[in-house]
Amino acid sequence: MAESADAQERHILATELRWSAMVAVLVAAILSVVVYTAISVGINPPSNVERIDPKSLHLTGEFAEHNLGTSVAADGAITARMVATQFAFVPRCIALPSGKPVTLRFASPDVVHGLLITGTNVNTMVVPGYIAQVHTVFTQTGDLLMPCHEYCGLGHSEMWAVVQVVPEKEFKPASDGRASCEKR
Amino acid sequence: MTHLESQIGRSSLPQDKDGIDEGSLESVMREVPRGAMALAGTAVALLTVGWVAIYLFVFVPRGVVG
Amino acid sequence: MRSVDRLCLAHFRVAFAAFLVAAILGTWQMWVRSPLGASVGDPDIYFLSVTAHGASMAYVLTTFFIMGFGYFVAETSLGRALPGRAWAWLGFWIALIGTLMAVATILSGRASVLYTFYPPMTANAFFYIGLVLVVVGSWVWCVLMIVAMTQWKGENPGAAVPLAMYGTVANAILWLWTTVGVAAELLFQVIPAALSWVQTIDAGLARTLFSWTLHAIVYFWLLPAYIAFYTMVPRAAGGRLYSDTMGRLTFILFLIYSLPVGMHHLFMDPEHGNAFKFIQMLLTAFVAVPTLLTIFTISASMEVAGRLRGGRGLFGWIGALPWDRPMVLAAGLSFVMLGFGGGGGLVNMSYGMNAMIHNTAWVTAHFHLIFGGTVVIMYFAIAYEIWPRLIAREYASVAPLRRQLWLWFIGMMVMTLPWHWLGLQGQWRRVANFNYADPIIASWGPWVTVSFVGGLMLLISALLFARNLFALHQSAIAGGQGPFYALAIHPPKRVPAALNGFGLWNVLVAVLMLAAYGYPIAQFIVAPSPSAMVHRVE
Repeated sequence: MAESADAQERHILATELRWSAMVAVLVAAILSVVVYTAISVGINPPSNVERIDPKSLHLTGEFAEHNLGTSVAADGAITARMVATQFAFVPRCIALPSGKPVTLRFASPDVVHGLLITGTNVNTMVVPGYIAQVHTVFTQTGDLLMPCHEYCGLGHSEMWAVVQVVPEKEFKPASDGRASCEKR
Repeated sequence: MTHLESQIGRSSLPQDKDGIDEGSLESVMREVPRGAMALAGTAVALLTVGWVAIYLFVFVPRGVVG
Repeated sequence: MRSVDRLCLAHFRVAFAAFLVAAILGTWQMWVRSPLGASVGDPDIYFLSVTAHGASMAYVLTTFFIMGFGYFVAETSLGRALPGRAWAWLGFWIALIGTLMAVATILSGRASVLYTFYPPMTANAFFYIGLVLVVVGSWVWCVLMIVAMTQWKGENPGAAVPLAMYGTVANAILWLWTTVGVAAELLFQVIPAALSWVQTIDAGLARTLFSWTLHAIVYFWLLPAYIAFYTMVPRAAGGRLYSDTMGRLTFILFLIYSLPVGMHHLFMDPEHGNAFKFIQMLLTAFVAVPTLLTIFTISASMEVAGRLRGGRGLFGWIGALPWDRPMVLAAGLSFVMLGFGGGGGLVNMSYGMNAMIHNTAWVTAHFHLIFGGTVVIMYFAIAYEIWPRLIAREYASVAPLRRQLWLWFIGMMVMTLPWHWLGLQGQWRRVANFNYADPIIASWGPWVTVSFVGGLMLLISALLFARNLFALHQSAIAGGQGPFYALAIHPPKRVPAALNGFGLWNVLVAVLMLAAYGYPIAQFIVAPSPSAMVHRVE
């Protein structure tokens, strides 16, 4: 009796081991997809670590008001800069092209904000003390909603911006490299 | 044995004697865990298909993120 | 009567009273967010409500329930009186006073920072101090659980610790480790800011310390449900636990892998780079394992029960199970919700894929389903199972219990499934009023209304839960005796020390936490980031 009880216990553990192997295969499969796309296609959570002093960012430098919005550098790199503050994004609208790599950079002078762009994978937290940077390529055009999605105080519900994504051919920055929204 | 221990008592622990006949258990154990493999396996397979579907058809079409 | 009966009742009453209030608040919030209540929500009241709802459900319902359940398990599974009962009462009162302190600050509008606190937004100091007291009270519980098991092992050398107690102590140790993060954040950063001892605060460090707690805490909530799966459900179904060893391994795996994974809540944060986000994502994949193991082991245990009752074939045993028993029904419904909630969790943890859903209604859907659904339905079942034993009365009928459980399940699915969809559309979190004039938002309106209907069902179910327990108190039928812990197919005679204690596993937790959080936290201390101004909300 004791022998068959031991044999049965070994059988039970063998089935558990078989199941564990299947579980391990599933977990490994998901991880491989994640790792492969991270390395080959560059799909990562936005993870550029760059610091900035929240108390002075509006005065000079990259996030001074005159430097906000979309601008195209001499080498063609497209960057949009916004400040997230209680309770508005500055500027309230930015224009960007679809089908080309773009970089979005955000900073907050006050509390933690966050944002997403509807229908895209653009999503980041904006933590005072840090510049948040997201790279993407827009795959659709239209006027997309960019709400603040992290609770930032009583005015949080009203904090959102618009992203006008225009077809590549229609994206025409001015001679100083700046592009702004069409008035609609 | 303290008064409390005699109240709880060795013979009336909540886990004692579940009334299952050992013979029936042995015969049932010849089938188990086929059914559990089927149920849990199906569930996990569906989860995998769901994850892959969301990855390919919702996530990737929205553009790279980095 | 057991010595812990009054102690357990006190804890459960506080837990479920908080639950009922929070359920009412949650329903109001859902109405205000929907097209039906779009003109009503005043942000002051809305965010006060969200803070109260979140703090009650996440900190009060859970902690008090888990403490009460633990005291019950400590006495009944070990067959000996709880040591240090006076200390247990002291812990209860400290936690209750802390709760009332936090509630008072929330209701007075001085603490609308939500249950996740968002430094540099800073509430009245007594909000945080109150929550610290709740944690301190729970630490007393942790110590007593460890003492009870240690004393039992001393009196029973070489014997296997009963699985229910082993799981409970695993949870107690997990909680001690878990609370370090939020305690450090509150004691060294947030409370000094709230008391105006400092004018700036490092938001990156605060978020990182909070993330230490934020994932592990959900496993603190989850483990009692798993304790019920392994040690109560098989017996309720008329079967036996398929493998006691797997039960122990499950609790150990949760203890090890619940903690060094918190950074997956910070995937979208700019204060950490890819390296540590990736490491913690790998570890998060490992914490999926004990759940995947559990669904097999518990299915096998149910299969034993079903086949003993005459079920045949690959799936016939499922129908043969005694679904009329509340504990069995709850477990089945819980597993269905675990499939959906767990699946959502797999999406959340998948690194870049997190960008698709972070801070959208998908996240709200996920944790309401996996916690409010999978876990809380088991809290109901455990309460239904234990309460008769605490007051020595029996239910006149368990049909109302089943109806309440079914309504909870259906309500939870109706509420959360549309929320997942809305999250994918981009609906974001913590909004007092949606602007339904906007065409994108207007298209969401019908689904928001559907999920509000789910919320109403949940409210009714919550009230039915209370009604069922009141009815039990009025019941004329004496009862509440009888065994309820499951036997294992192979009762453990001797188990290896590693599966009977936690010495080795504590070392592993320390090593993993150092690897996963060492640099991410140290970086803020060695090279502090520019601090944000404290922003008082009171």
